[in-house]
Amino acid sequence: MNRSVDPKKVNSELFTLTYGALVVQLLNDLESVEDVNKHLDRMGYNIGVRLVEDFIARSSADKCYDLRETADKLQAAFRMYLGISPSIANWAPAGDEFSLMIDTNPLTEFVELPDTCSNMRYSAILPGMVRGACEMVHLEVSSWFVQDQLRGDPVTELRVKFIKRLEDSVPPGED
Amino acid sequence: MHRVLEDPEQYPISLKFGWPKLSTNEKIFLASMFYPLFAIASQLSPEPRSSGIQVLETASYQLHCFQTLTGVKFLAVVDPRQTGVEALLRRLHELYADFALKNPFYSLEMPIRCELFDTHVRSALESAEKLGVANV
Repeated sequence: MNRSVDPKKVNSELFTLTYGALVVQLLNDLESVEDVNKHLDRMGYNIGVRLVEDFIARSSADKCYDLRETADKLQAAFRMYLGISPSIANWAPAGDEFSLMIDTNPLTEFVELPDTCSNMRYSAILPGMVRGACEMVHLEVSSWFVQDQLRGDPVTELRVKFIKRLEDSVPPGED
Repeated sequence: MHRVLEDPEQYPISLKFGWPKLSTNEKIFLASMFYPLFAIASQLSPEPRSSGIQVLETASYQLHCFQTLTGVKFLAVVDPRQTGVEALLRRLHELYADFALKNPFYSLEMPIRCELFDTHVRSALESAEKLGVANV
């Protein structure tokens, strides 16, 4: 009943349904699951590139000096924008790769993948966002799903791998 | 001019004095001259990893610069007695994130022509003006 108190909040089901409608529309238009995956990733990238500025402005986040700090920031961002707190796990021995373990993915709350879409990465918008956001703060990362509850895995595991610092894009006075 | 002053419907009249506004191109030109100055300032530093220019003082004005982690710079040219400029720049950062970046029709790295952004910036400037001068 208190749903309408905060004007900044929308019903999360509306959000989930909107995302679902978008994915299905993409599938109808493109008729290829691979293309849908690519498009979702690109859309996520475009969102990440913009949203990172909001994250920096509102969380007054500081510079990260190692990947562990980056992981913490990503965790905070998931809390801030999706209302979930993924745990950070499965660090690679070299410390350049980690996973965000998502227990409940709000995007997939009502979703069952049909057999024809078994290789669809339904939430591909999320790794795209991670990649876009990191790029704007001068980190090249790649990000992908290792496990997905939609495909019967016990958790959804989003892997993030550090590739390099984008030295060229680091502005003077920020290195 | 006289017609405006004589027409009772125009009151209350608010007048603002200032230099004529710069065109977008002139602003881009000046900002791109500031850019290397900022870079030089950080290179001149005897200590490594210095920031660039944060405040530039002259007898008649101060220029404040705030660079975000992504490398976007916010500049404010203010009266030397003005206070709270840093808070203003941070507020502008939020407004930029909200009304430029979250507007899907705004293309990145282009001049911001968004009505909502302009109105919010204007009100942020007005409240900063009131607060800042009251504190002097």
